[in-house]
Amino acid sequence: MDRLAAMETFVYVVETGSFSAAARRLNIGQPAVSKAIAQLESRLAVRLLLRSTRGLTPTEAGLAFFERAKRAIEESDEADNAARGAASGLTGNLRICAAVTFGRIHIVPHLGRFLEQNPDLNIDLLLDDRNLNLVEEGVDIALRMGALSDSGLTARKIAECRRVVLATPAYFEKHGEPTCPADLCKHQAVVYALGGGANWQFRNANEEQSVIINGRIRVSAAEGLREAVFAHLGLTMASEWMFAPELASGAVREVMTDWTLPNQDLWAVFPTGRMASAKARAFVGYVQGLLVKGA
Amino acid sequence: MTLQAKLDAFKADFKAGKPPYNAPAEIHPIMERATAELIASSAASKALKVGDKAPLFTLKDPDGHPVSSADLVAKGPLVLTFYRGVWCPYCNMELQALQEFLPTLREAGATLVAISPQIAANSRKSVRTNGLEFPILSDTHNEVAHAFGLRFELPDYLIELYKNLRNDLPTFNDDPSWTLPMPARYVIGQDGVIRYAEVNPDYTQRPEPEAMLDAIRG
Repeated sequence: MDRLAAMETFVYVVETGSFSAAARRLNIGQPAVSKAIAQLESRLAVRLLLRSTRGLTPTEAGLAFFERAKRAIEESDEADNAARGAASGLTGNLRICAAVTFGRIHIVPHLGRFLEQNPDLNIDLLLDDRNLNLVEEGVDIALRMGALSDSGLTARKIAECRRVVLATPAYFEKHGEPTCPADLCKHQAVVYALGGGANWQFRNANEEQSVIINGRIRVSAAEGLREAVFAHLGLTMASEWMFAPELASGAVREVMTDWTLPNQDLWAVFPTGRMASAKARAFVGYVQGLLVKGA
Repeated sequence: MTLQAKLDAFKADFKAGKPPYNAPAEIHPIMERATAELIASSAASKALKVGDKAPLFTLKDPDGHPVSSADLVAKGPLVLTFYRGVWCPYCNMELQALQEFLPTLREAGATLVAISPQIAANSRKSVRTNGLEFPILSDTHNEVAHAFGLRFELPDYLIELYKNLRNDLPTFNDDPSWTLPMPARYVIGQDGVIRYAEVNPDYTQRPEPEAMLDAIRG
């Protein structure tokens, strides 16, 4: 194995914490990874990894090697790009991760133009409502909503959107229309388990009032939440992003417009420790352009 | 005898391994560790305080009738007590003390409700065995407790202990999450603002019912 390939293997092992995960990322067998690391350690005559029952951790020497090896790989990628001379420099595969509904409504329909602008780029779009492990999945850029729990990530807020209370006109016809937070106690809600749960915090010019909403249905994914609302099962609180087509068509209607809820934030999240690649930065800029225009 | 004196006497018997619990000595350091860690986490300092607006809620009483906090507050000061469940002897002693205090509360125009994650059948049992004349409302998933900043997740080692003691909270509360509210007592004024708040991360410590009289009388 050449020196750069060995470095790359080592970097993946440290980032994923296991030989098998690194092997999956590199698309080679696990024995090949173990062998490459063993050869590397024997060539350098220094122990790079501590193997324990809890997994692999780099030694002090391993950590120092990791930092420099990573930089060397990035430099080498840049050199490749420069040599290829692509004007935009955007080539290869861009692995993006986003929530299912957000991706379906706001990203997928607009990918065409981004691909046209970057003819040498391919996109791998991972749609998942859960927060995937970016390093393990080899993700370049994730679009995430809400509060970020993992403080080890590099993140930048790129847009925000109003949250609203909404339901179908048929629901309001049957159950009446709430006008203030106290009215919500008489309503049935569909609760989005990932979206802040049953505690809705309202504010108007004069006061703040939170309500613990009654929800006989809790849904863990936005697709299910949307279908429950369309089936007139209750009202819900959601970002305008989640119901953008239906708010526009009138299939669902916003109520309690005198009150505001905390905004939904959208974050661009990059895997820890790795410099955001030029293609990831370009994609974030493109998405930001879409959302600011209100697409 | 004050409520706290009763709790202290019970705690001494419990730790001495006396009946009816005959608690084995090795469980106490585990329970005390969990309490010490909950106190150290300063979770209680994040709970709602005097001057905060109380969240509105509607919960069902043990007979399935919805009870709305907005309706109760419209009638007078509302006293809430967050109750871990009928399995907790300290919590039952607190409810008994509040029951004794109920005539004074009513005279002052206040309403009292307990809020608990346990299922209605367990609340009916508690109302019966503790002789209560106020309802225990079912707070499924501890949503209301969470809105007040009281919900916490039990640490793994305490879950282990509870399982060994056959204190199966997932069945008891019909919720797989192993969460509980910190015991707490609140008085909410007719303007919806919290007038009295006492949160007890150490479940063996509870305020005397009389401590909230000034807040109730406004």
